[in-house]
Amino acid sequence: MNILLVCAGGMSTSLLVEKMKKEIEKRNLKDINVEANAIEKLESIIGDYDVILVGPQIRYKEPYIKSLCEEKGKPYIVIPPAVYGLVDGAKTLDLAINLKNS
Amino acid sequence: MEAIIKFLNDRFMPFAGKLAEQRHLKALREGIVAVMPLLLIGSLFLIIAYPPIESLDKAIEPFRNDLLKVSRATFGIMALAASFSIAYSLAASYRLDSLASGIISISAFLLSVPAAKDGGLATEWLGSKGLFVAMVLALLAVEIQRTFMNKNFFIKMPSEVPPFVSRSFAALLPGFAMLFLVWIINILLLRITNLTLPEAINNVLGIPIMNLGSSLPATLIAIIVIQLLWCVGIQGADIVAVFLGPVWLSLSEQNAAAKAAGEILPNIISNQFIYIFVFVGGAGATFALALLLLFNVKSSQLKAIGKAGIWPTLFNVNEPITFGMPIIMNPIMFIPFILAPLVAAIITYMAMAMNIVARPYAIVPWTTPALISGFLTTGDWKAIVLQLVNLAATGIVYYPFLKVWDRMKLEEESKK
Repeated sequence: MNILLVCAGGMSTSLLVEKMKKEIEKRNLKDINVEANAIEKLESIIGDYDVILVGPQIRYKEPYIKSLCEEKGKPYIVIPPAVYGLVDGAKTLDLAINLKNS
Repeated sequence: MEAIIKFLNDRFMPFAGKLAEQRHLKALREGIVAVMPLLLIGSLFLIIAYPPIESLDKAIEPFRNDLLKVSRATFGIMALAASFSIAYSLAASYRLDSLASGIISISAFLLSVPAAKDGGLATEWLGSKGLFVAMVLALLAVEIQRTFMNKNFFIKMPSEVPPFVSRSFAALLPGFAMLFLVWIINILLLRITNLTLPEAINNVLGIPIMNLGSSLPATLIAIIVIQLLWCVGIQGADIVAVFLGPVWLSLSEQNAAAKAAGEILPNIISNQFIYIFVFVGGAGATFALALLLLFNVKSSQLKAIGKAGIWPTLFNVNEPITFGMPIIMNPIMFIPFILAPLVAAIITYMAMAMNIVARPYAIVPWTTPALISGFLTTGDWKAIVLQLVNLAATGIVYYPFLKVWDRMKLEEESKK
């Protein structure tokens, strides 16, 4: 499964991606791939991913993200601020996995 | 306080979000961002051409002109490049043939540019001076293209014709209309008002906006808006930059051009003013706060935030702190969070207005760590001192509020 994290510039989400990768290694989940990118790129790369996680600082773009994700049939979720602030890789990974399975 | 949060969240956020998502503003922003790599490369050569150490400066002098060629081909074509990238972004958002739009837009821009005295192209218009012209014409070119397409007013080729051939025919009529329009307006304007189209656009639009953008009061208001947006957890700089990004960048470009020409730098407010001197550590000027979190708190949660937050903060990424502490939705931290960057802005402005510290000319990536960034962007060691002064001042602003929050967190933790 391919997980994409997006925020304004893809900077702070990439911190979270590093933590998620560690968690993936810890749980030995070989088929999960996580990447971060800037929201501007979303439209052109969305096809390559299964779930989209959105940094809370760009939740003002949710209407746009929602319509794009619905059009492409991809589930998305805005990461809760507390999880984001603690750079909690484990919780974010659970979030993505649950999103995929729901 | 509840009412303010409610207002920001329920009214202001959707409004700001809609503005930031507005198609034309978004295209302007994306188009300008696309030019950034050019400006970073140009800056690198500008720094080498004017090394901040005197003996090096003498050694480099014979090569200076060669080095400055790169700045001319980067900073110097900012508007030309933007005329392509803005049209490209807008056309893509309409799902039009964006490549054709970009090319027509470049052509229209060059067509509008006045001739130099010797009849050649007046190259000064290709840089920041022509930025507003490029913006207006790029948007116009795409709107004309869209109107033609919507009205089905274009040359259709039979379906056997390869797509790239039929596409170039489809761009023919709207392209012709755009160039004809620019051509005829330019001629008429010159006859009637004695002004060329770019001069008219600059007089009506460019100069007033630039004057506003370079003023301290307008900048302080912009900072307040950015901070208020962050208070409810929204990337404020991103939204404000939709409007002010092009202005700040062209103010930076004017400084770069002046530096390359060996003239006095005209602007204090610029892209670097905001991202290198005010938002040290990220929005809210949180570098000092990160240090306080690391060394001066008792609550174990805040200590953890300090440890997690310091590394990204070093590169001006501060979401772990703004969301983790949290500052967002936390009225206790709102006051210093808004006040600290204002204090940094006023100190920086005064230091540069009184010529104690040199003004910025080189654009460095906003992720460049503090102290290094100040030195690189100005070539002046006193900029390091200025960043340290800002650090101390913002630390003093944050300190009492952090103490209150730390005590509350500590009580919370002892109850568990």
